[in-house]
Amino acid sequence: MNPDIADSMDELRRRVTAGREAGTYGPGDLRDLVVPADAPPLVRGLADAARLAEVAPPPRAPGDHASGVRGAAARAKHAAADLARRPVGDVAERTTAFNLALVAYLAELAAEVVELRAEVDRLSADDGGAARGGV
Amino acid sequence: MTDARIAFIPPRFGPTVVGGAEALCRALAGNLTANGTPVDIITTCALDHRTWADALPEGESREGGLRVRRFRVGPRDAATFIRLHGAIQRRGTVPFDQQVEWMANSVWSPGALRAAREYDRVVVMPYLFGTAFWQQVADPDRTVVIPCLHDEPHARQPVMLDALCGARGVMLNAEGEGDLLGRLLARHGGALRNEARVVGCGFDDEPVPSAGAAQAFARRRGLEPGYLLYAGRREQGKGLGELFDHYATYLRTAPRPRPLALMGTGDLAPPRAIRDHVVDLGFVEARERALAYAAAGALAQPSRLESFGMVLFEAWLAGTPVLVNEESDVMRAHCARGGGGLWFRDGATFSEAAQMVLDEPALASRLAGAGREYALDDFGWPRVRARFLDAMADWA
Repeated sequence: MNPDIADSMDELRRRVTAGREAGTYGPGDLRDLVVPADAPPLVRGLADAARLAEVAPPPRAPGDHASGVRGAAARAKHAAADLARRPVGDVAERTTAFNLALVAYLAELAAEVVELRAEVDRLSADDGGAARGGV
Repeated sequence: MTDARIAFIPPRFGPTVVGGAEALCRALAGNLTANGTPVDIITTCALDHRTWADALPEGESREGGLRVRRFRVGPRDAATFIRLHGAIQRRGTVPFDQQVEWMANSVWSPGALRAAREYDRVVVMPYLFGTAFWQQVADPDRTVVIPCLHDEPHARQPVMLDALCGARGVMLNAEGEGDLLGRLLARHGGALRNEARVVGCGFDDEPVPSAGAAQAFARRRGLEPGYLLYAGRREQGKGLGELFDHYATYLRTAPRPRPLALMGTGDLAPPRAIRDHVVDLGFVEARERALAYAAAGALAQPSRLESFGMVLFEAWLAGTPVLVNEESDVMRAHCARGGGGLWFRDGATFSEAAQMVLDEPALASRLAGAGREYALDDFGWPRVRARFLDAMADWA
């Protein structure tokens, strides 16, 4: 790939990821998840697995922006339903696809836990500062 | 140059015929003929791609320096073709016998098949028509295909891929089309007789229009230079509906949004939410088209179904960067290799990409320069002619 384009696309993904509201990313965005370096190994591993899996997103109607855990669960259910509708031809392929959808779902949950934990830490720090200032 | 007698077979041919494959056929045949490799055109008498009614007389003529031989369309049942074509689109596939029936009722010409035997090599295009399919089936040794593949259900039909695998050679328009072909063949379980080659369409080294001329064009159309431009037919199939949705996201998120100008004809109108920001340039004459590109800040190309992406090259040659749909293998590969643009996959990526290109002049200038260099280096006419003739020689 042209190196300037590689850099520009990285920058574009960074801006998009930074601009998303927490929990509104779709399965297609998993490749671009930014997982903190100090996140627990399980979280990093799941995020890596999700990137490698490149799970095809379940069909979503325009304007369908179900977010957070509820959105992730709905998408996982859609993916499972979609897989179940396919003709029984290659069981191994379906099983693999289902597993990958599950990994993607878990990775979404894990990433949200990281974000929530960071938010809790930030709020706790703010709280502590205010308490000290009052003493 | 080659001593082989060569004919190109498009399903229709003429100055009023609009279409990517037809434009490629005219340009490639014309350029080869003008540079010492004569190419004849064998085609039908039809001009309308919906009715395929014989509109021109059977016989021979000279058009744009080319010898054109027209033959009547063979008997076909259009209703059966439309029914099966729709069934493949909806269901993904139909049984093999119905695939054959589908092609049996596509446009074809027995006269064209007979005339093709007078040549050493015939080059058929695009893949989706009976004129190309039956030539591949009837005389695979003599036949080279420029399929102009799209990522669509019809290209996945085994009957199509079997025919393609039998042909002497396959010429691709771009590297990205090769990625698509590789996926189709892997799924099909077939292999080409000879490795496919990228040939594509060529371009002349025309100077970039001056800033003054571009600005004057924009002002005549009630615009300031730096707008976002869509060029092509205004229809859902070209992804314009998606572009409207993405543009709405851009309007909501960009601090200084630019208008969207539409160049081309068609019925698809912008939705109410963005209508005030959309400018209709309508059909723009060829001599003014480069100015429309040059005055734009970026070309947005939302289509998934492109085998070459002619408008990208028109934009790059006019000094304008592009934004393309990530789902198009062909256009994403052009941008990734050449460096002439960014790609988007939804409203958020489109909006950010548009803001980067439209609001950061240094980036826009680098992308536009890289795109123009890519267009002229990889798709300048001398390179395209050489690739065509090398492939013909290797497949002799």
